[in-house]
Amino acid sequence: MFGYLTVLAVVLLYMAALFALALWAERSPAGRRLADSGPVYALAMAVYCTSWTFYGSVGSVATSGMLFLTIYLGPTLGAVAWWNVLRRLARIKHRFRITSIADFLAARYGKCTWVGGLAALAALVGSTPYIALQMKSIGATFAIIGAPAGPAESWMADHWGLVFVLLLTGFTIMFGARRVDPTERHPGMVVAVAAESLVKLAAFLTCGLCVMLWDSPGLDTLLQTLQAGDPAWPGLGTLAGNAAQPYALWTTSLLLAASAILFLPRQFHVAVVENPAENRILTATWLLPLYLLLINIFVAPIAVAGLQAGIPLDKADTTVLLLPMLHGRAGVALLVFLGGFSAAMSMIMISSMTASTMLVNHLVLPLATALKPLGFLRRHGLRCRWVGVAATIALGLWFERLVGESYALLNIGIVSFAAAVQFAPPILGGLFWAGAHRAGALLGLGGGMAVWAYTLLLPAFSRSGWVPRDLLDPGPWGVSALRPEALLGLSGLDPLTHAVFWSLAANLGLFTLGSLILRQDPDEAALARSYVQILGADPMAPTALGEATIPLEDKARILVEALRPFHGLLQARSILDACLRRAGLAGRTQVSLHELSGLRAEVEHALAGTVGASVAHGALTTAGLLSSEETEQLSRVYADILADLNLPPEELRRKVDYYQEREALIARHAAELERTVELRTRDLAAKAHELEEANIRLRELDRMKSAFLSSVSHELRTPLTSVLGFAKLIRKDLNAIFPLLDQEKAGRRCERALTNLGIISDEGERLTRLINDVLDLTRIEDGRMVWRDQDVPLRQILDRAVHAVSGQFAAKPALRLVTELPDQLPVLRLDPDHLLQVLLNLLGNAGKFTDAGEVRLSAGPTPDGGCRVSVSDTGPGIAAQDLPHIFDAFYQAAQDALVDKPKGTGLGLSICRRILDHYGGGVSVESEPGRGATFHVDLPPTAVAVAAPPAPARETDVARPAAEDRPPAVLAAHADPGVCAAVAELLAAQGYEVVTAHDGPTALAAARGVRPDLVVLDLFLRLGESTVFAALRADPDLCAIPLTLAPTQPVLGHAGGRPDFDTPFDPQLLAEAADLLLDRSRAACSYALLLAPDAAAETVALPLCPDGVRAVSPRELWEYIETGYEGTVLVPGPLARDLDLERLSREPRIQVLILPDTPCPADR
Amino acid sequence: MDNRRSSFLGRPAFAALLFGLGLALFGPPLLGIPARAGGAALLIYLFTAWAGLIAALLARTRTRKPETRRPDPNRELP
Repeated sequence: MFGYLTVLAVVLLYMAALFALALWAERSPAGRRLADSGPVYALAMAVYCTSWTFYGSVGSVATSGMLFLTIYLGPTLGAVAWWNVLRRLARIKHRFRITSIADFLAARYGKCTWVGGLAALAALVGSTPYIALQMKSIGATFAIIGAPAGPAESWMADHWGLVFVLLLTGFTIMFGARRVDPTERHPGMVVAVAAESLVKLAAFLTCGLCVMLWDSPGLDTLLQTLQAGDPAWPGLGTLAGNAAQPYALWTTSLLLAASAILFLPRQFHVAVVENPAENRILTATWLLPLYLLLINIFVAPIAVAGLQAGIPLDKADTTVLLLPMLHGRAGVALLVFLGGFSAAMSMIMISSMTASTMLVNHLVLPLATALKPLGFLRRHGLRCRWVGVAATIALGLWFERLVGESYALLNIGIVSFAAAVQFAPPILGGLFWAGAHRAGALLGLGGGMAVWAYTLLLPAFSRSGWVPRDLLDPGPWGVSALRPEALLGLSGLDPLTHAVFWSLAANLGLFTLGSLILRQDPDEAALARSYVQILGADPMAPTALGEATIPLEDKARILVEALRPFHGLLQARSILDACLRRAGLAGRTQVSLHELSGLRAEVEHALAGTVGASVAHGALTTAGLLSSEETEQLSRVYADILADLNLPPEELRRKVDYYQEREALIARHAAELERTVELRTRDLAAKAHELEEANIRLRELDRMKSAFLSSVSHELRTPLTSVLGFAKLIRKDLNAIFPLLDQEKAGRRCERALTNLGIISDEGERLTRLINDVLDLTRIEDGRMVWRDQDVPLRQILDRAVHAVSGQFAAKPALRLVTELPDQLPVLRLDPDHLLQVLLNLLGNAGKFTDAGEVRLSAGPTPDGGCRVSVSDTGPGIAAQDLPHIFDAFYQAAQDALVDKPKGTGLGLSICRRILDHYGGGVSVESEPGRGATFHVDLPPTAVAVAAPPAPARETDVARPAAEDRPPAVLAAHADPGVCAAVAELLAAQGYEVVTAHDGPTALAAARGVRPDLVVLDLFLRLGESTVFAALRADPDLCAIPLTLAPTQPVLGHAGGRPDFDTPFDPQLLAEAADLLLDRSRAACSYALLLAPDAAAETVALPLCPDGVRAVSPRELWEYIETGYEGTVLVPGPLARDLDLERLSREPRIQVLILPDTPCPADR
Repeated sequence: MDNRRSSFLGRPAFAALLFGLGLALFGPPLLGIPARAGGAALLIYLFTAWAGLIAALLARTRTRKPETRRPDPNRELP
């Protein structure tokens, strides 16, 4: 059906997958957890199902009917007792580091080398033919499914055995005999075997389902055939074929199978040595029987289908593979082949591994110890095991080639079961009977195996033609009572039942007799009690008592010499060091006798893991570690302890066991806790590292954000200035053009165009403020802000702030701005512009959000020598949930969005906080909704240059100064609060009362409320769809107020946040202009140009202009300006409408004064 | 009621009962009845009894699990 190379390639791929799985199980924690799980443990025990059962069950149906089921029903019955028996075995394995079934027996019976050797020999005798049987199945099925198609494949047909031996040996050594200590579990091997169990189950179920669904006439027909039987397959449908005593054979098979599931060497290894934890036995108790049921559920239907397909009786064993091939199901056939290969492979691997361990530990090493020429082998225990694995597998192949189709090989499965049952009496006796003696075990096992060989093996050899048939009948030397199949005249039984009966009788009889007749020595008795009471407690260790007087160096040398034959010098020293550490004696020079005893136990324990308990015990016993005096002293000490405690030895052991158990438990818990703490610490360190990295990333991102904002803000502001300027130019031009158009047609569109331009202008200005705030914030964060600290009186700053916001308050008649300041205020050492920025922000917010009542500004020293300025209002207050956030950048209180108030940028308070942070001060807020808010600006003592003496505060209503004392009032109306503040500061320094306004309505309201003597005006300050300039000129009450133009688009250098009026605004010119217009008693300016309607230019003498005023026409005015004129330009109000005021206001060093009441020179 | 049943399922007596029941089911004379009835009847009988035995094992396992705990280190000394 397939070429050999194809089949081999599939097998190689399959083995590679198993290799990867095994490697993963060994190296990854998840793999080890899987290997330790109950289902994997149960599936590994399914190594019980070899190719003998995978293929042979169907063949057995053809000849022996349902007898094959006993092989699986037996383990199911035996599973009832596993919790008691298998748990004991597993615990003993953990305590005594048992490596194999031979090691178990040797360790139990006084660490007797002979018992171990005999058990190993028996196991080997049983294993080799069994491995041969697996080899035979691999070869037979390989020949069925494959067909040679070329020279290479013909070579494969002849040499498949060598290929498989190499593959299986490599795999077994890799995962089963790689390490020195065979007591360590083999998770890779276990997981691979479990996977193979799944594959063989899947293969068998697939084949069965194909038969049931497609490849047979139907279930009814199958059952009818099974019910009726068929002469071609005589056993079909019977209980046990043509057995003379079917029920006896049935019962014997049940017993053998129940025993074999635990006592076949490979089963002992998987169930006991590879047991990960006792409670896994519970899973296996039901899962393994379930597995056995499933893998057999289609055996009978497949057999009937094979019969119906015409498969002859001699090919019945391969029906499982032949059926899918007959029906052309290549894939199913290949899967079945892999299932059978898995069954054989898993058995060979585990059997060869256990056989090599037993061979080396119980035959080779004892021989190497006894025979000096072989002594070198003790140093090569691991290599010996590798050789043992290869030899066992190769021996199986050789045996298969040798005996071929003989009767002996075909029946080796059940023969092996009968051999395995010989282990049952010494093992079960050793577990439950403290009096079981090693002589009894030796005699029983030896006698049982001998009878087994005589009654079962010898007839099989005879039928195969290897020994004379006369042995069977009439019997050896013609003695009928010695006939192997009718021993002592017991005839009528089938050979298996007969052999099991006599071999078990001999085994049990000799075992009991030997145990009853001979007395145990103390060591064996102690061991026996440990085994029998294994479920009681963990091992005990002698308590370290006595004085440390024994030189450790000498004893260590003896121990190294004892280990050296098995491990070599270097490894022996390494093992001893490990034992010293475990015994707590590392670094000691002298030890007590008890400590030495403990060290000896540790070393023996370690050595037992390599060479088995009996060899290890022998090596330590003959090493001469304890002198006769020390031995006697140790005995006396133990006797004294018992006497002191007034306890019988058993009671002492129980108590010590109990505390030992507690100690072991606590040690385990401590180790687990340490592991947990270590894991947690590692996690925390990793998280701290992650947080640190995240913090670094965040800082870097923050720096990049600031740089980005700064860069973008600069880049935005430049074009925005142009946008605003051009928008205003367009608006001005349109204002001039639209009246000329047909109002009927273009009125609405013109109106809409002007409105849109107004919106552009408003939004542009708002955006400018936002950008300025962002720039301030980023400069503070970057540390690029310039701080021009100087000594400045606090009062001066407060006055500037009050002046700057007075216009805003003047626009709200119901709102009072009250200052509550003492006469003496401290002199501060800080940048006055920054503090002014803070105060303007707080006062501006208070004025913005308070409609009626008062805003109170107070200041005074604090007890710690610092200074506090407070701004309180009677506004709506701030909600509690907003209080913690209002100083955050871009945060705006919820109520801001709910009321119809102009929104800010959300940066003002954040900038305030950072400015005060810079000086070590702070800003805080107290507020209750509905009761206003109070902001406190706290400056530390370090910001105070000269403290002020405490003095009572004096309350002043800023918005309502007394009229008679009022100095000339100036209204500074500009969209930029910074310009307002600068103008206010400049003019206030000249002695003027200055009020400010930042928007059109406020400016108009302030003009009406304050009636200023002069308005310093942003020419394009908007008022709805018009401008304040137009409104002032149109209002009959206000048109008499002279105007001077403030810079229409200030260039705010923002050096340190302070507006820098380089161009086109000249503070000196502004001051002169103000003096000129307000008729001050000092010379205001030396020279001025007065715009006149005609071209006749002449100089007009004015009292306040010593050098005179020159009247110029508009054309001449521009010529003057273009040739470098610097100074004041007086514009009569009526002429202002026709003058390009914006161009004029942009000219550097030109101050424009609009004189509404001054008659034009030409008019005079 | 459940507690009593659980404790019984976990006792060695139940194990002995189960083992005896298994022997009775899979040994003479009970086994002879389906064996005489023919191959199909025998097959169905065996698998049914087998499945029942596995179910009983599973039930016993469930009641056994609490006993797998490690001994209490604070228990009274024997």
